[in-house]
This record gives sequence, C-alpha cells and structure tokens, in this order.
Amino acid sequence: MLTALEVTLLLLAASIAAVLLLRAFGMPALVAYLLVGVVLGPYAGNLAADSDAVHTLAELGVVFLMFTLGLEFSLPKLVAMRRFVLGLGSMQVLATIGAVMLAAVLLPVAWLAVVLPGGLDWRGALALGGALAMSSTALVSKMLAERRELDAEHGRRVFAVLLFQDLALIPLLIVIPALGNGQDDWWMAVGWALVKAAVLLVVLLRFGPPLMQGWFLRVARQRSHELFTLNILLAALLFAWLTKKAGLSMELGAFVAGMLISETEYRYQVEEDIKPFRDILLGLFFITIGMKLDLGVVLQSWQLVLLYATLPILLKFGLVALIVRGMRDTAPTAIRCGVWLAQAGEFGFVLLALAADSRLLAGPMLQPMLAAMLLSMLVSPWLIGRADWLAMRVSSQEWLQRSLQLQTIAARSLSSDRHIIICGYGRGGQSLAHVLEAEKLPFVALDLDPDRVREAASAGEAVVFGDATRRETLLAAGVHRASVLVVTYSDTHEAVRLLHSVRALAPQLPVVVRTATDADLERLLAAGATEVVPEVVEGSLMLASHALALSGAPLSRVLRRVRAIREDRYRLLRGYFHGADDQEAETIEEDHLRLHTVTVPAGASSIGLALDGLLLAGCSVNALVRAGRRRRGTPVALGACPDLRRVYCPGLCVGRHGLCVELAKLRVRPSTGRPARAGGRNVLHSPAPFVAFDALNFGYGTRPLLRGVSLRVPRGEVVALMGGSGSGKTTLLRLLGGQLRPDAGRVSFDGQDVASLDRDGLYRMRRRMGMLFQFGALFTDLSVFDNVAFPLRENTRLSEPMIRDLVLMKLDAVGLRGAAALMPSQVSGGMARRVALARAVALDPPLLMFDEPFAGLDPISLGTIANLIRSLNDALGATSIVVTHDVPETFAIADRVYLLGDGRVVASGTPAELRASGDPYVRQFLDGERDGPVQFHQPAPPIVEQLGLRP
Amino acid sequence: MIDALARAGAWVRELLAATGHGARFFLKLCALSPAALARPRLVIDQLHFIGNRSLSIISVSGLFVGFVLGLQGYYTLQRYGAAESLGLLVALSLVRELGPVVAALLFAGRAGTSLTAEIGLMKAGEQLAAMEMMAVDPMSRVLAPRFVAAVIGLPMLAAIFSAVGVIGGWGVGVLLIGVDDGAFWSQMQAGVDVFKDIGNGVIKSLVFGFVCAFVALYVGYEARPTPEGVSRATTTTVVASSLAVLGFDFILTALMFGTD
Repeated sequence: MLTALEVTLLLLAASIAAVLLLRAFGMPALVAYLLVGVVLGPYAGNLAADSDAVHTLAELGVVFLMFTLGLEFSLPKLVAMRRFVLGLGSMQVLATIGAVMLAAVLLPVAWLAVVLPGGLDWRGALALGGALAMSSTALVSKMLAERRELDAEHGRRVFAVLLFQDLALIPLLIVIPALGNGQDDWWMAVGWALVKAAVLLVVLLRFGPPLMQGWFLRVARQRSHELFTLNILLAALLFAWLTKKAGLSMELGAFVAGMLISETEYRYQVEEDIKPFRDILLGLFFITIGMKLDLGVVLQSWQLVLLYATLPILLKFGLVALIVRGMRDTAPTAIRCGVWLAQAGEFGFVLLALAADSRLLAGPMLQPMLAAMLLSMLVSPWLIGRADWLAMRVSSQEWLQRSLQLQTIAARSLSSDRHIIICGYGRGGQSLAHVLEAEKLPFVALDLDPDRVREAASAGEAVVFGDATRRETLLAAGVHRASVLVVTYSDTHEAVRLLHSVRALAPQLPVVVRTATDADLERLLAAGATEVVPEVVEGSLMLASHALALSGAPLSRVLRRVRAIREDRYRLLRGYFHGADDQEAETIEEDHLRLHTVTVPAGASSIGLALDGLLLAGCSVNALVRAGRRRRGTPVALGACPDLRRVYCPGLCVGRHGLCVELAKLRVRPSTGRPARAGGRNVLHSPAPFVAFDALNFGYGTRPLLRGVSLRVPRGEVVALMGGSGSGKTTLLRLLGGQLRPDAGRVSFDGQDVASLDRDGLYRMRRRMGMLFQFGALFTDLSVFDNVAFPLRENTRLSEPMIRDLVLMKLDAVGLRGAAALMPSQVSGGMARRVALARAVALDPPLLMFDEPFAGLDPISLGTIANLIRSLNDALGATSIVVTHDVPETFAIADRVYLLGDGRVVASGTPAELRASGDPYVRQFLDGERDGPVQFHQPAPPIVEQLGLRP
Repeated sequence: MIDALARAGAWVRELLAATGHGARFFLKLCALSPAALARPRLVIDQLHFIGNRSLSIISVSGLFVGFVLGLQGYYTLQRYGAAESLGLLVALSLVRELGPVVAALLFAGRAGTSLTAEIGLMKAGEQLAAMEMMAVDPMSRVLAPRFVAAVIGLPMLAAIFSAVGVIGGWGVGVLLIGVDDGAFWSQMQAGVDVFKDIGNGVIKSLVFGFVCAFVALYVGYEARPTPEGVSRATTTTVVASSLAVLGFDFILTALMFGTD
C-alpha cells in the first residue's frame, strides 16, 4: 500500500501526463481526470485507494465550483431566471421520472426482463427515474463557464435546470429510502425538509447581504491577503455546512454564499483567490468519479452498459429539447439544451446507491447502470462540443444561420444600453475596443472575418459575426439603444451604405467614420457621418507633433498646435499638394481623379450601341482609341456618381475590334495605383445594364402601343418612366415582368432575355423583382402582416419566428408596424400603398418596380412614399423603375427620366437636363399645357357641326 | 347571306376555342389538385369557407324537401295500401336523385357564386397579377385549393342533405301522419343498397362537385376585370352550373341506373 504522499504524487503525475496527452487531441482536461480515475482506481490499477477522506475533499471541489458560479449570479439575475428554474427545471425532472415510470409500467414484461435484469416496480422506476433525471452540475457548469456560454440563450436555461435538479435532490433523498422501507409518512418528512430549506434560503437571502458586506469589510481592513483567503474558504464552507445541516445539498449553500458575495465589491478578488482551490479539488472530484468505473463489468455486460448509456441520453435529449421548444424557444436553442443536459450526473450516483441500499433496485443492473452513467459523462464533453454542429445541421438553412448570428449579436447587445457599436474588428477596431474596455464602456463589435471573430470571441472579447451594412444586423446590435457607432475600416463605399442603413434606423445616432484620405470627407458627411477621421491626416498630425517635439519646441505648444489643427477640421491639410509619385502625369483635369482604360473585347454586349446611350454614370469619356488611334473628344459629362460601387463601364464600340474608352473619375488609391475596389469586388463588374429594352414593339390586338422603344436602366439608379396615360408605361413593366411578350425586340433583365425564359426561369427571375401595383393589390383575405409575409412564406422555407421578425422589420421601414393586425379593408389608400411597398421589398429584390405609386395620394403620403422609394433603393442596394405622371415628386428622387409618347421614347436625361430642355413635348408635359404635340381632343368632326349648329 | 355564314363560322370557331381553353383549364386544375392537398391548411380554410357557410341552407332545404316527400309519398302510397314503404321511398329518392342534384344546385347558388365573385374581384384588383409577379402561381395557390375543397365539400353536403331529408320525411310520415315507425325504418334498411343506391349517389355528387367547382372558378378567372364583368360572371356561374348539373344528372342516371 502506498503512503498518502505517494498517492498524491501519483495522482498529480498521472493527471499532468493525461491532461498533456489529451490537450494534444483537443479534449478537455475533465476527460483526462476521469481517465486517470479509471486507470488508477480500485477496479483497474488499484494504486490509489478510494477512501472516504478523498471523497470528502473531492466534494469540496464541486462546492467551490458552485461558489464561483454563485459569484456570477446576482440575486436579481436569479429572480429573472425563476421561470426557467421552476418551469423548465421542474418539467425536465418530472418528465424524466414520468417517462421511466411509464416505460416500467407499459413495456411488456419479457422486454423488461431483458433490459432490466431483476425487474422493476413503480417504486424502483421512480428511484431510477430520479437518478437518471440528474445531469452533471460539475461537468456542465464547468464547461459552460469555460466556453463562456453561461449568458447564451441555452446557457441560462441549462444552468437553471441544473439549479432545479439540486433542489429536487432534497425530496428524492427523503422519498427513496421511505419507499424502500414501506413507510407511509414519507410525505411528512418531505414537507418538513422543504419547509426547512425554504426558511433557510429566505433567511440567508434576506439577511445575508448586509451581514456579508460588514463581515468582508472588517476582514479586508486588516489588509492581509492570507486572512482574506482564509475568510473566503470559511464563508464558502460555512454556508455549505449550514445547508447540509438543513438537509439540503452543500452545493446549494456554496452557491448562495457566492451569490451574496457577488453583491459586494470584493467579487473579483474573491474569484481570483478561490480559483486554485476550486480547480485542484474539482480535478480530484472527477478522478474519484472515474474510480467508480469497473472495467470488468463494462467488458462483461457491454451490451447492457451501452444500452443504459444511450437510452437515457436519447430520452433526456428528446425530453429537454421538446420542453424547451414547447416554451417557444428556437429549435437550435432546444437542441443545445438537450445536448448539454443529456448526460448522467454525480447526484445520479448518490441516488442510485441510495436506491440499491433501500432494495428498490435489483443488484444485477446496478453495476452496468453505474458504468453507463460514467460513460455518458465521459462522452458528454465530446457531445457538447458537437452541439453547435448539431443545431446547425438540423437547421442547416443559410437563413437560419443568419438568424443564429443575429441572435448572438442580440444576446450580446440586449443586456447593454447606451453601448457603442464598433463596425469592423481589425486593428483599428481592436485598439478602440481596448480603450473602451479600460473606460468600462459597454460595446458590441461586428466583423465579417469568421476567423478573426472566432479567435477574438474565444479570447473573451465582445465581438460577433455580422454584416453591419444589413439593417437586421444593426437592429440586432441595438442601434436604437446605442450611444455611438464607429466605422473602423476605411472603405468609403461600404461606409456610405452603412450610413444609409443607420440613418434610416436611427437618425440621431452619432456615427464616427474612418477613411483613408480626406478625399471622401464631403461624401461621408453628406451621407450622414457625424465625424470623419482621415488616416492620412491623423498620421501626418502625429508626424508633425513628433517632429516639432524632437526639434525642441515646448510640448504644450506642440499640443496646442495639433489641437488647433484638429479643431479646424483638417482644413489646413485638406488641400495638400500632390507629390510626383502620388499621381500619374496624365491626370491634369482634376485632383483625385484617375483615368482608367476600359477595353471592349469582341463579343461584348455593348458593341453596336451609341456612346451616349450607355449611361456611364459618374464617368465621363475622355477619349476613344480605335485601332490604335486615339481620338480625344469633349468629355461626355454624365451626372454625378452616387456610389462608385455601381459604376460600371459598358464598353462602347462601333466596330468589332478593340476599341478603348478612357474614363475619367474612377478613383485610384494614390499609394498603390490600383483601381479602387469596393468590398473585394471589382468596380468594373458588369458590362451590361441591369434592365434593357431594345427596339421594342408591342400592341394589344391590332393597335400598336410601343413602336421601337429602347431604354436602359443602370444598376443602382432610380429611373422614372413618364408620359401621358395610355403611353404604354405600365405595359413596359409587364413586359419586363414577363407577363406580356413583345411582338418584336428584346427585353433583358440582368443580361437575360426575358422572352426566352420558360415558366421556372420566369419565376426564378421574378423572385429577384419586387413590384408595387397601381392600387397596392393587397390580398383582401389576408391581414397586413400576412400580406407582407406572403412572398416569404411562398418562396422561402424560413421558420415562422424568422418570418415574423423580417415582416415586422419591413413594416417598420414603412412605418406601419402598428397596423400589422389590420385587414386591408381597414387601412387607407396611402397606407395600403405602403403595405404593398413593404410586401414588394420583402425578399430584398435587386429590382423594384413601381406602377403609379403616387396616384391619388394626399401631399403628405406622396412625399412619404417618394422618400421611401429613394431610401429603400439605396438601403437595399437595389435598382428602381418608377412609372408615374407626377413631375415634382419624381424629379426629386429620380436619377434619370424617360419620357414616353406616341409609342416611343421622346426625351430622356437627368431631371435637371429635362427641366432645361426646350423640346416641345417635354415642355408640354412638364408645364401641363393643353395644346402642344399631344392633342387634348380625340380626333372628331368639329363640334359646331356635330351639335347641328351649322346647316 | 355570306355575312351570316361568316358569323356562323366565327361562332363555331370561337366555341371550339373556348371549349379547348376550358378543357385545358380543367385538366390543369385536376393536375394541380394533388399538390394542393400537400398544403392541407389552405384546403381546410377553403373547405370551412365553402362548406360551413353552405351548411345552413343545405340542411334547411333538406329538411323541407324531406317534409314534402313524406306528405306526397304518403298520399300516393296509401292509395295502393303501401304506406309502410314510405321510408323506402323517401330514402331512395333522396339518396339517388334529390340529394345530389338539389345540393349541387344550392351549392352552385351559394358557394359557386361567391367563388366566382372572389376570383373575379381578385383579378380586378390585380391580386392575381401581383401573385404572378411574386413568382407564385395563382392557379396552384388560389384556384387549386378552392377546387379541391369544392370537390370534397359537395359530396359531404349532399350526404347531409339526404340525412336531414330522411329525418324530415320521418317527422312528417311517422310523427305527424302515424305511419308505423318500425316499418318505416326496416323497409328503408331492406330496400336501400349501399353500392347501387348510396354509392351511385356519391358518385353523382362527386361529379357535380367537379362540375360546379370548375364552372365557378373558370368563369371567375375569365371574367372581365370590371365590376360589370364580375356581376355578369356570377350570373353565368349559376346558370351554367345549374344546367350542367341537370344535364350530367340525366347522363349519369342513364348510365348507372339504366340497366336495372
């Protein structure tokens, strides 16, 4: 027999070796302890005795674990969780016991005899059910804390159930022996114990806090670390002893002690001090658990062990998942809870031993059951590691993953108010986060790099995966409650998109944006940035201040100078001189502009089209090179570019051979000389316009309506089709939607010929379009909510909660969240139009079509709808076609206007160009004159003749 | 003369075109029906709408038809001293003929018109076009569930009609006039054949269900999208489905009961 010292040495050495070994395989230390116990225990190596003293010591590990968990749970938090503790917890325990008892009663005797040698009556089933209902508090809560999932949706539920199991232990400990001895007054004992427990808990929780505060203050005043540590140990163990005396578990007392200390300001100090005790003793605890495993039994009746291990795991997983789902939580949360709580627990051993002592369970099944419970604890770290995978697998849709993502963001941000949202967690974002941490300001960081997010999140930083330009993400991050939003990456196009989304959701929120140079300052400010910080400017400021300081200028003067410059909003530095290496010598026209050459390859879709029909938004053509000869012409000015991302350069060609067009105004980063890229995508992405009508002819019956209409709609623009009634505007939309087929000519959507599509192709295309009909065309038999949900329900397979969120967000965007329950007959015309708008954008389509969105609206609704069209277009990054007669509203929001008349396009251009136009048709339309190219009167014989006034 | 000939030719051509169009519409509805059953929620909603709302008129008319059958049957039968056969007479005439036909006629008037008007108004309000633009086929989302619901609903309504009618006949015959209760029921049980009488009645009402549903939906779907067009379409529905039901009734009766 080994001496106590030798046993200790052996355990330490074995533990270190095992932990090191399992670390290499990425397994948690816990499994290593269990294995050490199995190998060294009485049934295998029999090197370390399984003595009572060791047990008592080991149990203290769990006590300290619960103590530290208590430190993280304040009383209010626990009160907030009471629904989970009492509801979820009691249902889990009762359902498990009930299921086992049902199985014992209902299963045929022959089956039972195989599964349970020795038989089982209802009393035995109750005891067994109680033992199986327990999950491992030690294992699960340690893993929860390690994986930082205590605050996650499932983490809180799981912990609540564990707490309830601790409470449920008390009556079970009383009932089981009573049932075995055939006592009838066991319920008296249970009642008495519950009363004792309740009184003790109430007393501790009611009078504990001030007592604890005073006590710790007195000890801390001594300024002795040793004394403080001793005091903590005393407190934890004293409470554990108290609850044990009251017939409760020691763990509960320790938990209460931790909770009381969490209210004092010594919380963090206490946590640090107790940690080494907890970790060592908890390791010992798991070793003693491992020692209980008899490998001989496992090998002998391995079928039974396997059965006992898998059946309860499946049963508990199913029950917990069902209950959690039944409480209206999401499926992934339910699955996670199920996995986390599926294993057997250490209290299960206690109850099992008790049941065997009371002769409720037959001997032959005892050892396999014990082994199986241990096995289930052994595999559960592995299982828990797969919980996320399983949850994802069950809901493998991309949308649901996004909702999971939103959920994590929301979980992070929900608890905080007036927090700071950091978009981008690169170097800039991280250093900002550290400053905020030091200032103890709450923040949520969003980033799109999954690796970075995983690394940072596992290091405990508050960063979540999410695309900040999406409105759902911003909503989830609590943009309404935030105090500031910071954009830490210097991508102007992304930033502008983000600003659009933010401004739509929270117009008052201050936004700080970083940018590379000061070139985009105005644009960002115009897009709604509160402050713009250009890197170059800040860098040169620091350079200047260092240079000044080193050259001997007094520090105060340097600081004053720098501050003065900053206060001047960088105006001094903005007009800096371009150095020779900043730009190529060619660029002479404007600062910050670059020429970019676009080659038109043979076969490009733009070959054969006229130069001015190509709508080079934001670009001007500087020169054409054909067959190697350069022709410098007057640059074609084509309006201001709203967003460089959407600039694309259709090559324009008359011949088939390489004709080049040089475009000005494509930005190139001065440092690299490469064309600016937006979000990794090349600026010059699509050679074709988004929507194009080419030489279109169409007529109803024999009456020709459209005669050779050609027009193009570039990506990202709002294009208006105007013209008198009956000029074929709505028909154009129907042709584009594929509801009508052209007699001649071609309609193309994103490069596809609409007329060539079959039914499925057409439907696929229409899922990428949203259309607002003239009078809304709401489904009269569905409510407003169901109307907006209609395209989502029909075209996607989203879960109902997800649809609900999306619909409410869309309705919120049009300001009608409050009208969700109304029927279409109960809302006004303008509201119906807005609902229809929400429905049209439900699937976030890239193309939006509006058929007379302004007809018959009052001026207020008119302005609202017009602004909505523009802001939705920009926020969704969509392209819009608006059919309308309403001149002022349309000219305010459109990038480009086509005027239709007499079956063809009579005029086109930007609103400003049309206003300045002298074309008689345009003038008649804009000024609303009765006489002009369009006749007010239908052709008819003179009125005098028809009235018979002339003989 | 030539003009008249040309008009006749055009009429025939239009008739043929309309027939073909209708037939294709019918086949498409039938083809879409199994898929509609895969979304039971929609069918159940429609079944509630079509069936439950017709329940009151169906049962009240069934009751009165039963009363009348009891009275008329008694007067005729007692001339031949066969008043005990009253139960058989009432049951057979209801199950074989009156149940399916009258229920179908009432159904066409009650549910058919509302279907036509609903579809017509959805078309007029551009709801069907909007659905098309949302990549949802109105035929399968709107029309097919209504079609299936009507086909399922009419046999049930006919059965209820017959059952209530039998109770009405019993009320008049047994309670009022005093025909022997036992004879009433035993004659009925002995004389009504499950397959020949009830089965054929069910087949009839099933066919009428197809007819009424098809007519109501087709007329509604093809209605001109104006208030006037919709009102005209509802009238057409009643006339066309009533005539079609009576015509099919003759054909089916000739086919099924003609041989015995």
